[in-house]
Amino acid sequence: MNKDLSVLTVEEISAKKNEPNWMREFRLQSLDCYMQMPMPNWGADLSAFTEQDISYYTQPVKEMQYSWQEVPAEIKKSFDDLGIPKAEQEILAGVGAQYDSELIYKSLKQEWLDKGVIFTDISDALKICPQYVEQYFSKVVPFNDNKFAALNSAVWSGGSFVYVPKNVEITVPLQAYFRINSQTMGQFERTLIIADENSKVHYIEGCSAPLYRKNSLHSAVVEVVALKRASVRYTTIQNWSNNIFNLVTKRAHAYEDSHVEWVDGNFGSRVTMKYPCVILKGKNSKATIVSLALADKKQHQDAGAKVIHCADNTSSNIISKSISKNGGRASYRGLVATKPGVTNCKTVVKCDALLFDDSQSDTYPTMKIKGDCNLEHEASVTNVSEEQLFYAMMRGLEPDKAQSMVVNGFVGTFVNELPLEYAIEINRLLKNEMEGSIG
Amino acid sequence: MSIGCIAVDRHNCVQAINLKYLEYSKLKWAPVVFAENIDQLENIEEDKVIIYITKYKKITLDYDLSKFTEVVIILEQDSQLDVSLYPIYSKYSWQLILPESGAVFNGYVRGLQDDSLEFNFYCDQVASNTKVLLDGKFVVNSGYNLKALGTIKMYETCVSSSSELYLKALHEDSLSSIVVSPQLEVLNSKVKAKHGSAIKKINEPMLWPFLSRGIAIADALKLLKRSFLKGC
Repeated sequence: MNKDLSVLTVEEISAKKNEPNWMREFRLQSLDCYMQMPMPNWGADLSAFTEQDISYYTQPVKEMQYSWQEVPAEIKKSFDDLGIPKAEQEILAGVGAQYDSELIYKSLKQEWLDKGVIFTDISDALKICPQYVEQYFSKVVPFNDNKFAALNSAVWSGGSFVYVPKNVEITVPLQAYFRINSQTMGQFERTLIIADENSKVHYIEGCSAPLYRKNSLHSAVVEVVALKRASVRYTTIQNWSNNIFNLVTKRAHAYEDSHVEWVDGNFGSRVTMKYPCVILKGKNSKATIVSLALADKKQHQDAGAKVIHCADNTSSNIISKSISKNGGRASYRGLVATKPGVTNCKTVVKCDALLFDDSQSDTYPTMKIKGDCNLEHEASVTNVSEEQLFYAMMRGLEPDKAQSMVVNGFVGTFVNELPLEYAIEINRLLKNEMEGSIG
Repeated sequence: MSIGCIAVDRHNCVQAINLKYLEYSKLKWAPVVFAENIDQLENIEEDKVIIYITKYKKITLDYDLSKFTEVVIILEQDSQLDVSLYPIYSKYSWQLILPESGAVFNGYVRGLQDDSLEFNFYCDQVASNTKVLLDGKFVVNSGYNLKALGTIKMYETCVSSSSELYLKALHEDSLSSIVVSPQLEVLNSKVKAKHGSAIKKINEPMLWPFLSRGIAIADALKLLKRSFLKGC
């Protein structure tokens, strides 16, 4: 298959997936838009990204499997090492696993299948429930939203499609796992989650990749629709290797009395540009965005949050934490805006940064208010002070452990939002990352 | 001569300023006022000015800088400037440059005007042991707009420095539009920086303490706005 970015590649991807004509047209229109749009001249430095080096489609296996036994041993080993099959049995409602461009495995427990929950990828959804795809696909993130949304719209492959029927509460999380296993690979995950009225779902995505010398690209588009009284929590633990450009567009529409939560952990990648967004379209809807970014050597985590209040009595809460060390750079870029005429909106934004060594931290919050809105924003940038360390060391803790304790306290707000099993892993990951940072 | 222009023919002025600091300046031409003759500010007819506070001078300006729409402030070693602004025009731009250690800046902006306002603040905090505070409070009356943007850049060299940037607004009703953006760029781990913003609409619970004491609503509004601007 053709691997460069061209009309031929886009048509081949579309033909391979046996897509309806409207989707093929949509892809071609998006490609045209991508070609015309300039690279963003703000945010992280993307000069090292060269689109001609990227492979736009790689198929690891012939078709998606429904049992781990049928997944090729070499691929299964990657997921075994990450503990995915074990977690699936113990704590998850369903699992999807994407390897390079395609979903190679997916499963959903019978209990949720019986209740009408759909958990698959969009290609499959186009066949089994085309009405939902046609109604909601690209309605939250239009193809011309930004350059990388246009790229994703042209060559998307894999990702997840979740539909939760009315009055169904999925009590345990669904998880998707994304793996880039080739160098100069482009992974264009496309995810659409629809929570019907009065439903509830928690979706978790994890990302990782082995380290290669050449850069790869992960350019995802995630759309979430929370209908009346629905509740959606979307948790991301991103731990890409340091040669990945992670350029992601995530947005949700929240209708009346619904609640959308983005819990976003960014630990890996060379460059991340990701600003989860909630558009509060219905009265009394709520948005919560909690994020943590860890920027190590040669990493730039340009993350943030966006909330647009379009209806009365809406509220939002944004908490952003970042840690920069060894010369890494973490940026918070946020926007809170209200549509003219809305009343009784409330929003609280809090961003804190912890700095080590010769690192950099930036905050670029913007508030645009035209309506009856109460807004509070506060931010602080500090280092681990000698007083804090002294206080802990006075009680017999080694310097490394004292610092670890301070860092754990700092990230507590984020970790508390995770299921217990993930919280333990994140604490362990942070401990490893912070080792030797003191001094 | 302590008041003049940055021009080759104003020899005394050029000598008195450390020209390399002007590299940071967004104003390439403006009258200059030095700490020693700060009172000369009143005599300047242009709407822009460079205020240059020389070493060890500590100055609290008794009057505000509202007549200057563009201001560049440069503080030398261990100097201090406390300054205020009560805007009367619709656009102001302040730039603060701290190229030498020990400098302290305290700026207070209090906006209560029947017009739209755009206020831009930019600070280059270059040297060590420097302190910056910008406290901006604005009351936005019905139908007017506010745009308040602040950026503090703390360079690699500004060890043991601190900065605080606050932009707060109180608005009368939903007919006004407000944009605030307090930004920080911190390139050094041995600093402390804070920023904050708040936007509140005047509502009944805020006015109730006044109204319950028999104060008319128009007077209650005036009192509330003034107390917001005066409060710490």
